[in-house]
Order: sequence, then C-alpha cells, then structure tokens
Amino acid sequence: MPTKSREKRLPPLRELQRRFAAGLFEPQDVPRQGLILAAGIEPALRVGIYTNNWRQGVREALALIYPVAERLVGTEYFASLADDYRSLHHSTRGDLHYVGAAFPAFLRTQFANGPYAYLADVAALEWAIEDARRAALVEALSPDALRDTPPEQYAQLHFKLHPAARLSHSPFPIRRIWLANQPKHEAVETVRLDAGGDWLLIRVMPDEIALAALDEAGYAFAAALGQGSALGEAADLALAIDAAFDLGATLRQLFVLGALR
Amino acid sequence: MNDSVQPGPPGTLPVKRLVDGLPACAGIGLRAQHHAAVVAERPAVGWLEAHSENYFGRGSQSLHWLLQAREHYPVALHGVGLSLGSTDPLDTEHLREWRRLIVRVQPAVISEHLSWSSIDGRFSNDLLPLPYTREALAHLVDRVDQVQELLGRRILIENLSSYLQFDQSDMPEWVFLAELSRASGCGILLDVNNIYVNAHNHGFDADAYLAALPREAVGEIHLAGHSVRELGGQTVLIDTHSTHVCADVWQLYAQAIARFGAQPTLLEWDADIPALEVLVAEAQRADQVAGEALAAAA
Repeated sequence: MPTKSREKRLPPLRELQRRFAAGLFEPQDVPRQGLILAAGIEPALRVGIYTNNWRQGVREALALIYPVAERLVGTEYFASLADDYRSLHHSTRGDLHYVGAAFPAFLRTQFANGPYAYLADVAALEWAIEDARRAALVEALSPDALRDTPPEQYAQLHFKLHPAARLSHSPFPIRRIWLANQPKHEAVETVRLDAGGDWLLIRVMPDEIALAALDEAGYAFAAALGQGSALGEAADLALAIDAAFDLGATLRQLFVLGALR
Repeated sequence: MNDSVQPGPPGTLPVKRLVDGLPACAGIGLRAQHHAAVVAERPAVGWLEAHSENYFGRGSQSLHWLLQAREHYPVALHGVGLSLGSTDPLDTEHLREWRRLIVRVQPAVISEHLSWSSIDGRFSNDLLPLPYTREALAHLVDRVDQVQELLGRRILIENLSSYLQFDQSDMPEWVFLAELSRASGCGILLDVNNIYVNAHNHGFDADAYLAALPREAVGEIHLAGHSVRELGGQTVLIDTHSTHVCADVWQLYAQAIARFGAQPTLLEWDADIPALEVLVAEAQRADQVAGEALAAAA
C-alpha cells in the first residue's frame, strides 16, 4: 500500500545546529525565538560573540600562514582581506591549516594585473612553505647514492624531490620581498618590483627555511625530476631553455639543499 | 590502558572504567614559539600538552620538535578540531591523522572538547556549545564510543566556556558531563577556568559543578586566563587564554584539588604568548596552590 509522503522532521539536535549555524554565519538570520535563552542579553548579541570568534579565528589562521603578506599590506587591510576571503571560501575541515589553502588564488583574483599583483605570488610562496612544513620526516638523498652507478647510466636515473621541498616562481622578486620581511631582518629595505623574477626551490628544515634561487633552466630541471622524468630527459628540457645549462652544478646544488630523495 | 566494563544500575547503560595517566603535577602547552627553547632548556615542568592538529600532516617541522620534547617529557595530545558533537558524520580522515600522530608520539593522555564546530560540512573552527538534552547525550555517548573504538584508547572530554544557553536544555552541564563519562567510559578534562566563566555567564554555583562530578572520572585539569567584556549592559567573561589565571580561579582550583586529589594540571596560554619563564612560573604556582590545598585537606 502506498504511504503518504510526509515531510521528515529532523532530529532536534541537528535542527538546532542548523539554526544556530545560520545565525552564526549570517548574522541577520539569528533566530529571535525558541533557540537561545535571552537571560538578560539579546540572543543576537550572544551569537555575535561566536561570529566574532569565527571572524577572528580565520584572521589569525591566515596571519599565521601569511605573515609576509600581512606585513606588506598592514594588519588592518589584511584583516579586511581575511574577512572577504572568509565569506567566499567556507572552511570545510576542522584542521585550521586548510583554511588558508585558497588564499593565494583569492589574492590573484582580487589584484589581477594591478599594482598589488605581486601579493598573490608572495602568498603562494608562503603557502608552499606552510605545506612543506607538514611534509614527512625523512632523510634527504646523499650524493653517495650515485657512487655505485657508472656515469654512463646517470641519464636513466630517477630522483624524487624531497617531501619538504617545493618550487615557486614569479615575475616579481619574491625571494627578496620574503627575506626583507622576516622578523629577524631589521634593516628597512626597498625592493624594486621590476628587479626581475625568481625561480625558487624551497626546502623546509626543522629550524630553517632555505629559499634557493635557481635559474629558469634549473627550475625546469628540478620540476621535471619532481614529475618523474629521468635525469637525461630533465636535462634535455633544461638545455632546451638554456643551452648553457650546467647539469653538474645544478645537481650538486640540489644535493646540498637536501632537495632530492 | 585497563579496560573493564561493569554493569550499571538496572535500566541504564553499563558503566565503563578506563585508566591512563600523566604525572599529577603542572605542565605547560608546547607552542611553536617555544619549541626550540623547551628542547634546549628543558624547563622544570612535569609534562607538556600539544594541540594535535598543529602536528597533523606527516609533520616534518613541528613534529620534529614534539618528538624531541617527547624524549624528556610525558605528553598529552589535545584535539581542538574534531567537531565531536556535530550531527554530521565523524571526520574519519581527521581521526586517521590523529591516530597516526598518537602512534608516533605515544601520548600519556588524549583529549577533545564537549562541543561541535561544523554542520553540513561547513566549519566555524570554534568550540560551539551543545544543548544539554537526553538526545544530545545519547549522540555524544555514541560519538565518544566511536572515537575510543577507532583510536583504541580512552579519551578525556573537556567542558568548555560558553556565552549562551539553549532553550531546549533540560539538565545542567555538569549532569550531562558526568553522564557522558559514566556511559562512555571517557575521562573528564576539567577546565576550572571554564567552570568559573560559565558560572558567571549563566549564573550557577561553581561548587555545585565540582560536587556533581564523579571523583574517579577526572583525569586532568586545565587552568587559563579570561577577559571581561561588557555586552548589552552586562558583564560577560570570555575565555581568551591570553593572560594570567585570576585569583578566583586559583581558589576554585584549590577546591577542585581538595575534591579530586592531585591532578595533572595544564596552564593554557594560547594568545599573546609570554616568555617561557612566565609560563613555567605560572605552572610552579599551580603546583604550590595544589600542594597547599592537599595539605589543608589532610
């Protein structure tokens, strides 16, 4: 026998959580009645404490991941960017790390082609650092690993980038901008935005962050290794960019940085 | 961990008793600013607490420091992002990350909050209060069961500061917490500052809260500083973890120690974090207050 379709009632706890969250995320939707005890203070003011915590929490999470971007635009403006970002990008994880993931892309949309276009690239560098901070605790590959391979077989070797190594590039001098805005860097430095771009290899270690400047060919070489190309293929790619590409020197640089695995 | 299930009174869920532990003295939070200093200076505190989520991922940088610190101190892993009380499905990826960390760090204690922070997949990344109803209690018992099952050990659940109460609630927070512990076997992480804050914000007697909790369930205490705000013409206390523990909270802590005995006690300081010496001095004060409370009780 067909049953009458009836609207299914949500369990009270789920309904309460939905109604409360509606008011928290969209303050004009705070329920007036039947949810929160007033007890001398308007429910909307009470929910406002949680809305404020949420706003402040996202600001702080972003400031922790993007201290250079914050320093570049100032605390107040950074907070307003964080607020705009928060309304566009909902947090979908309990781990605050993920709250910041889309911030570089957000800045790219906000400041495309304008005078602040470099800001998205600085943020992308900071995200690469944050992401590498969470990578595995493993030893880097030592150059001794090559000892048993005859040189004529080098071209077929496959390397991986170390899990705590990242690549980041920009038409702007993001390395100098980043270095000039570190807490330990006391001198006020003027960085010219048209001073030329950067091809960077980032390696995060427990007590240090290394930002190594590669050239375009070296960067393409490291990126190709990271994507699984054999040494020979990666070198060919680099040579196609710059006929003067020095394979030995670049490989040594990657070993010294602990960038290979 | 010892795990035994004893039958409860007729018509109730069985009472579970699970045991684990930290040294019954004061500890401090391991925070990124002090990672290197804690490892190098090894301050005279009994144990360290780390926020689990800060060490998620495979964790090269922060986990390196936590594992170094772990060589010298017992560690508690305190979760802040599980959204335990949410009616969304439990985040199994989050739990997997936590379990991986637990295997690496071998903490003496793990804990989470009596709260929720997400609905329909959207997070406020804050600790939101629950209504204290039979339905919510059954939900929490089920969720704590799932977490303890998945992690293979007992968890402590912490009472939180709140700035509102729900119309639906039909039991006091302390009854809810005591029942949750009794029915799920979870321990209680008693945040004495949060009791003080809520007693002020919601007008109840903090002594009644302490008196209602089963002695054997409390496995750790948290102490912190709070801020005072004016809201709608009234004073509201906000749990900010940004300052020293106030005199009234020290007094309530002494009462808690008199009732529950010496407890692992964490000095929480998460905003405007001061120099390491300040945190250590605050922890030493907790040991002193606890010592005096025990002497007075004896």
